[in-house]
Amino acid sequence: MIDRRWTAKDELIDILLDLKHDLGKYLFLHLSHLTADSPVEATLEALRVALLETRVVGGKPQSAAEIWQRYRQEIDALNYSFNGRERLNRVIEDALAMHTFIQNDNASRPPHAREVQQIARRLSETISEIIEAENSEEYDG
Amino acid sequence: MDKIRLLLIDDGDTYARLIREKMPECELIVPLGSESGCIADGPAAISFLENYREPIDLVLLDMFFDIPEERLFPLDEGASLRRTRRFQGVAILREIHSRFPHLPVVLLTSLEDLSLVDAAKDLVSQSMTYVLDGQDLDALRVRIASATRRPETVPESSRVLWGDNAAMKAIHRRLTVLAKGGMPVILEGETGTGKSWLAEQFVHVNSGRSGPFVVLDLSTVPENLISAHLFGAVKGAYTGAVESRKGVFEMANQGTLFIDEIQNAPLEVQKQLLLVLQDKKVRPLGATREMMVDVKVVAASNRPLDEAVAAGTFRSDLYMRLSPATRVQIPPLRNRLEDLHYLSDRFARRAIQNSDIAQLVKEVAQGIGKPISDIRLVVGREPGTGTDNDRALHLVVPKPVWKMLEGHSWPGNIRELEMLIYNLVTFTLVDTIDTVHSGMDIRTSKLQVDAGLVGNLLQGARALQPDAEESGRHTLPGENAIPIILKSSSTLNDVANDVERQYFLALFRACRRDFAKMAHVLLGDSSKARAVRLRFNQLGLRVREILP
Repeated sequence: MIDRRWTAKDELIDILLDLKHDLGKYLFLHLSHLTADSPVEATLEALRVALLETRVVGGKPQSAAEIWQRYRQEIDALNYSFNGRERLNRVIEDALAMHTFIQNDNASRPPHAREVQQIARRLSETISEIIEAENSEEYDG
Repeated sequence: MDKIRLLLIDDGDTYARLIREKMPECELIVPLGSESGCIADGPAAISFLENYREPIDLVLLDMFFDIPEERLFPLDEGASLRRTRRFQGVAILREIHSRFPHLPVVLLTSLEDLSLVDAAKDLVSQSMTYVLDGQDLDALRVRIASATRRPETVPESSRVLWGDNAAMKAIHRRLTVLAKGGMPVILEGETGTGKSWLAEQFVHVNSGRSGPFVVLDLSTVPENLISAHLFGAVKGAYTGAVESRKGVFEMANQGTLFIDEIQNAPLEVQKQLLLVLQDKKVRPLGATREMMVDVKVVAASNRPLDEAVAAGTFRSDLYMRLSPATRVQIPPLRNRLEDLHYLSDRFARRAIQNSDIAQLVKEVAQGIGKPISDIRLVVGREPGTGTDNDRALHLVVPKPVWKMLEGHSWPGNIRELEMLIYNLVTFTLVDTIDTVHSGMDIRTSKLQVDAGLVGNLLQGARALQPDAEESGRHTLPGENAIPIILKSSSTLNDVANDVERQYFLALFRACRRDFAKMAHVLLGDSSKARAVRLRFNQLGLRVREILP
C-alpha cells in the first residue's frame, strides 16, 4: 500500500528531485550532442525542442517554462520555509528568461546551447545544495 | 554487424526519439500498438517480456514514471505516491531481476537522483545494472556497449590475474568502462584481494591518462596530517611544516590518485575531499590560491562503504559523489577457489623473476643437467610421468595436498597465496639442491611438493591470522567471560572495532536483544539504551540481520 503521510520537507525534496530529473532528461540530453561549432540551424532546432517541446504529455508538448513554473507553484503551495529559496527563484527566473529569449529573439542573435546548459547546471546545483542542506538538517536533528 | 536490440521502458518518447535519430547502431523493439516505440509502465513490460520470444539484447529503463497510480509497482513501505513515481524504475528493475535474472538492464537516471543509499545499493547489487552519470548520449552509448558485450575469456595481456571466476569477469567488464573518463572508482574488498594492484595495473593503465599513478594509504598517515598529504601545505602552515609540500592531488594531476583505506579519513577531511571532487580545485593548507587539478580518483576500502555510511563514520554526500554505481566489490579468495590453481601457477611463474629464486633455479638446473627458464605448478600428476621436453621446472602438488590448500580459508587472500607459493617454491628448490648435494642423482624437472611443507606454511599463516574455526578461542577472564576471536588487521582501529563488534554482538544475544539491559550492563543505567543502540549501529551491526 502506498502511504500518503508525508511531510512538507519530504514533499519539497521530492519536487526538487523531479525537477532535477526533468532537467537531465529533457534538457541536458537534448543539448548534449551540440558543440561550440555546431551549425546555428542545428543549435536552434535542438534548443527549440529542448525548451519549447520539452516534454510530450498525452500527445501535447509542454515547454520547459511550463514545467518549471508548475514545479515552482508546487513548491509555493507547500508553504514550507527553507534555505536557498530565494536563490532557487532567481535561477528559475534566469531559466525562464532564457526560454523567452529562445522563443522571441533568436533571429537577432544566434543562441548558444552552452548558455542554456550553464543556466540549467546552475539550477541543478542549487537544487542539489538545497536537498543536501535539508538532509543534513534531518541528520543533525 | 548486427544491431543491438533494445527494449525501452519509458512513459514518454524522449529516449525513443533520441535513439532512433542519434543511435543507428541500435534497433528499438516496438511492442504491438505502441506509437512511441516503448512500453509505458512496469506491469505492461513484465507482461511483454513473459510473452516475447525473440532475442532482446538489453532493456533500457527510465527512472521516473508519471503514470496513474494503478499502473505503478509498489516501491518501499511508506513511500509516498510521488516518491513511488520518482523511483518507479527501481521497482520495475526489482521485478525484472526477480523474473528474468539474466536480462541486462540499463537504468536511465543521474546518480544525483539517488539520494537514498538503499536505492543506490539496489542498483549496484545487480551485475548488469548501470546508472547514467549525467545525461549524455555518449555515456549511454558506452553503457549499452558495455552491457551487451559478452567476452568469453578475459585477455591475458594485462598484468592483472583475472582468472575464470564469474565475479572477476564481471569486474573486468565494469572496470574496462570505468577506467575511461573522469569518474571516480570505488574498490571494495578484504585485505589482500588486490585492490591497489587493480588500481595501478588496470584502471590507471587503461585510463589513457598521461599523468602519474600516485598512492596515499590513509591507514599509514597520522590523522592530523591527512589534509596536508592530500592537498599539500605551504611552509609554516602548521607546526612542523618546515617546508612547502605538494599534496597527492597535485602530484597526480593528469593521472590517477589511489586513496587506500578511505574509510579511515576523518569526517572533516571527507568534507574537504567532497569539495575537491566537486570543484576539481585544491587549496594547499595555508595557501591563498586554489589550483585546478584533473585527477582520476580510485578509492579503496576493506569494508563496504555503505555500511560506514549507515554507521555514520562516512559522509553520505561523499559516498554519493564517489558514486556507488562505480563501486566494484572484489571477491575474497575463498569465494573464487576455481582460480586457485591458475593463481598459484601464475605466482610460481612470477617467482622466478626474484633474483634469489633465480639463483636457486640456476643451481637446480645445474644439478639436474637441464636448462630451466620457467616454473610451473601442476596438480595431481606424479613426477616422472608424461613428457619432459620443455624448459620448465614443474612443481607437482599431489591431490591430497591440493585439498589442504583448497580447504584453507585464506584470510589474507591473494597476497597470502602469493607469499605461500613464493615460500613453497623457495623451500622446494632448497630441498632439491640439498638432495643433489647429498649425492643423489636427480634427472627430472618434475619436483613433488612435500605435504609437510605445505602443512607447515599453512600453519604459519593460521598463527598469523587466526579465524573462528582454526585458531581456538581467546577468552576474557572472569565469570561473565565473552569469547573474543582475535584477528589481525592493517590498522589498530580496525582491530579495536572488530573486538568491540564481537563484544556488542555477544552482549546483545546474552541480553536477549534488549538494549536497556545492555545499557545497564555497560553503563549501569538502563535509560541509556539509545546511546548503546547508536554505538551498535555505528559498529555496523544490524538487529534484523542477527539471529537469536
